[in-house]
Amino acid sequence: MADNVRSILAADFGSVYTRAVLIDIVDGEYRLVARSEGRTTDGFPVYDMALGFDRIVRELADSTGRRLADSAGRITTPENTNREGVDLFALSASIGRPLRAVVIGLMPSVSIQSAIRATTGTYIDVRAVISVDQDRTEEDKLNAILLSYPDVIFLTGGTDGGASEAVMRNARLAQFAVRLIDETRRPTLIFSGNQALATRIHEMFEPLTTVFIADNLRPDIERERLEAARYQLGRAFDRYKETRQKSLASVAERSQTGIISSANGQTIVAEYLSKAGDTDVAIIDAGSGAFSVAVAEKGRVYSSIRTDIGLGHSAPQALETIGADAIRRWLPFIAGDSDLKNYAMNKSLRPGSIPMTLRESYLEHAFLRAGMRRVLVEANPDWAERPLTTSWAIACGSALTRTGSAGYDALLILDCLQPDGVTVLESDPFGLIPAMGAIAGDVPAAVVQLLEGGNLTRLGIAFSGAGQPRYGKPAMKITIKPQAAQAPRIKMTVDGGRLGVYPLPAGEYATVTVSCRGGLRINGKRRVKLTVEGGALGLLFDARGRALSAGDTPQTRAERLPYWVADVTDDPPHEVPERWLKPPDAPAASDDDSDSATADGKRRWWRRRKADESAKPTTEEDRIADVLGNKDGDEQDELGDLRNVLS
Amino acid sequence: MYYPDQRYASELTVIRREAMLPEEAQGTVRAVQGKRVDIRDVVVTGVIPSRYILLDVAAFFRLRRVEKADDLLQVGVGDVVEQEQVIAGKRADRGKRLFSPVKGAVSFIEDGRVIIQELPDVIDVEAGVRGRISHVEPGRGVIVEAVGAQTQGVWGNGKNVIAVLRAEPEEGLENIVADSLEQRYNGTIVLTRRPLVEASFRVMHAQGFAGVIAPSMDSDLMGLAFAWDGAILLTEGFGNIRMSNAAFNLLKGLTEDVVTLDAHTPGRFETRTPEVIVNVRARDAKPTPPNVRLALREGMTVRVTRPPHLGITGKVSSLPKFPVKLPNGLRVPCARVELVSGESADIPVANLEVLGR
Repeated sequence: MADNVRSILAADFGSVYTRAVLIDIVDGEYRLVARSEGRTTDGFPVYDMALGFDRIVRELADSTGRRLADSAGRITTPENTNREGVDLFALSASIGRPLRAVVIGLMPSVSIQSAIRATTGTYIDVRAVISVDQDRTEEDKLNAILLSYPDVIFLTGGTDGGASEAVMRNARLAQFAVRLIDETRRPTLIFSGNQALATRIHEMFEPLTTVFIADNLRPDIERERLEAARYQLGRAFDRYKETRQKSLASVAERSQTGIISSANGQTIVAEYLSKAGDTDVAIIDAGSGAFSVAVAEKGRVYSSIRTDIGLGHSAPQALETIGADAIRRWLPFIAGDSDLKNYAMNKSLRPGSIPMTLRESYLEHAFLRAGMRRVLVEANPDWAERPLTTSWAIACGSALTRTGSAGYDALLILDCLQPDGVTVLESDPFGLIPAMGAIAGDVPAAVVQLLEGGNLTRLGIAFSGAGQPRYGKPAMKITIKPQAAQAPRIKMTVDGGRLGVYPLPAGEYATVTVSCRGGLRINGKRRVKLTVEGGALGLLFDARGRALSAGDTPQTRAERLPYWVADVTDDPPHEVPERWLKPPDAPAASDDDSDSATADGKRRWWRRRKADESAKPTTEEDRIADVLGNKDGDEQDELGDLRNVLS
Repeated sequence: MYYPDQRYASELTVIRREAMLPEEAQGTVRAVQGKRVDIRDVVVTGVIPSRYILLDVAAFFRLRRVEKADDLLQVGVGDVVEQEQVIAGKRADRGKRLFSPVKGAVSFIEDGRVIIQELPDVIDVEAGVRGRISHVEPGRGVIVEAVGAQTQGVWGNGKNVIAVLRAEPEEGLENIVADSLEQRYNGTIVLTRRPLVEASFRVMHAQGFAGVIAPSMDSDLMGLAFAWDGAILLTEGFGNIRMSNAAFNLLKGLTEDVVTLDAHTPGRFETRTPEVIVNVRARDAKPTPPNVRLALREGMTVRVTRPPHLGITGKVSSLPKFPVKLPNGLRVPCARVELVSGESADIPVANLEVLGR
């Protein structure tokens, strides 16, 4: 197909924004010629994603002077002789509810564990797990499947040529369940177990529903092979999006590639770039409904998607999953559980909104940092113990790419990844990465040419040290020799616990020597010398150490976090108001700049809330019984009698 | 061109109301496109699939060949069976017999096994407004179009009521309890400008309110809100937020009318919003349908959705070409808004809502 493809339109549907890029061959290479974005219009008042998509396509057409769609809004493919339309129209999406899956396997520590790891490669919500060691009746297992309302049944178990009877027993149970489900709602079946049974299982399910057979994810007890299962789970996701999500299906009809999951696209690109450039690559995406990471490290790809961690639609679930304490570790003020929950609930009600106050931006970025750390460690638990080493980091999603400051973007990427070593930092504010994933199969050359062609925003290069430097003492001594003619040699020092920036623009090079002091090491070395290219921010020196900690108390964090932001932006450090650090026993502590109520009103509300809290029962059930359960008490009876008399 | 979020607050508009079953439910639509419906008309009936009971007839009768079980069956697929009804046995009235442990429907018979699905609870979805069915989604529900006043909220506790809307007394709804003989709020939907607190719930329950429309409440109270029988709709969000003038003035104008309060709980992956609807008689001039293609432009009336100006309305005075730096250091696309408070502020366009009409 690649030979015939000159022009490409690739669109990515996120929960909040839809982004599209137009790619064409310029001077013999694929180039990004136009891009556009707008709000995703699946919700009120439009309820039709095609409308928002059409707006974006019109904007692309206006900016390029080229017709892309016919009068009915259908993308014209292939491109005609009048240069109307495109040769390839590709789609990716992260919007909508994830696939509901039931995992059926043999042993929890073997096939089940691998199957669950495989599901983290796409947007999947595992509703039930059934294994042979469970003390459950067949009836219970059947109900666990049926009452999960699955979109996918993921059947696994048995090494190749190994256990077959137990696997077939599970298959019969799954078949039984599928037959009980209405034909229009039957789940897709994916089998990734003992390959000796693949044909039998295909024959069992083929008359009933769609069946995908993948290579065994545990071909033997020692080896784990997730790629084939992940690929089939991705196909099941595509099928679900194309057939069940009507609004998206109307757009998908026009695409030649179907719909791939945005996160799957990131994994494809990470793997591709890693192989093509023989380098380690990390791609992270912080969305409203889901967070995802795809890291290629030392030839192996680690990926994870969490649909219960997000900054907008999934913020309340994120709070529950990550835990309030993990979020507080990034806050320079005292925040009660209900403060965090109020924030998360409000974010889920207005997922596209942006923090305007300092306090809310700290909250937003605390959810971002803690959430991404959680997803990263889930992709590879080793990163809880040692820092990640990656030479190329690409960030996607508005929260990581749209702060309006290259320094702020870079700081957030570093805090999320916490890498050790020298890392090129780039951001993808226009949704190019998922688009690349969608076209990689058809036009692989476009991926490399576009990413090497400077179509991402190059923020700069970070020198990050691991270990624990002494706070406030020199930790990095740096010499910078720009290659520009007559540029003077620059010397600078960065103290432990701080960051330093040298503004070397993109396209300019410098030879950088970093000597570490105290307990700091860069990728295990005390001294690093490299010639590097700059970026929108330039060179960033991170002497905060690893594992990174903003401090154990709000007071410590109030001394550090504002300086970290100031170090990487041109802004002076924000002073944390004293009242933020006091326990909330006075109305002022409830955040003067966080709402529109008057001070008097706020005091009254606070007094009422305090009065409520002082008499609060210990459990939610007790509280409900206390507040709502005494309507029929004596007092009410007397009142009722009196009312009857009066009426 | 930026297309901001919309939230309806209109005294007279074309209302498009979804009356749908939950996604898991299976059901039948009881109305056809074009049909006129009243508020209480059931438009779709369905059931949420309930638990399945597996009866192994062959094992119970210790049959060597499972196909022999068919000879013993006293029921067929589709039969509704009572609890303790005979499912299998040589004779239905005596001898060794297998009884149904539940009331349900026989959904499957094969290989000597009988599957009975417990009878599920039936869900009836009412139209909620007086209008005409404009769209039917088979098996799921309908969209009803009507003419009336509509105000959308941001959160609801999942309940529905139709009752008279009444404003709280000047001193707040918590003080209703002070006058123990007060009963004018019993069975009504009460409008309050103040955030709900635990004490509010005691009054709401004791006084038998049918529903409450409030600006906000602490998220800690969600458990109570879900447990309360009445419907709760929040217009602003969670925390200590007072009701915006725009929402309050419109709702105040609807007091003493019978209103439909659909306190739908917004789901993570769905798009329906909680709302208050008042049917009005279609006048001579039928209102035009809401404009779903409203792009942000100068002169437009907007409402701010994030602190520090949350809930305040204003007029867009200009749309700067370049991103504007906010006090928290973020630099984002903004609109300059003249707020009703007299202040002028740069507000991120993502934090503006158009009050759709």
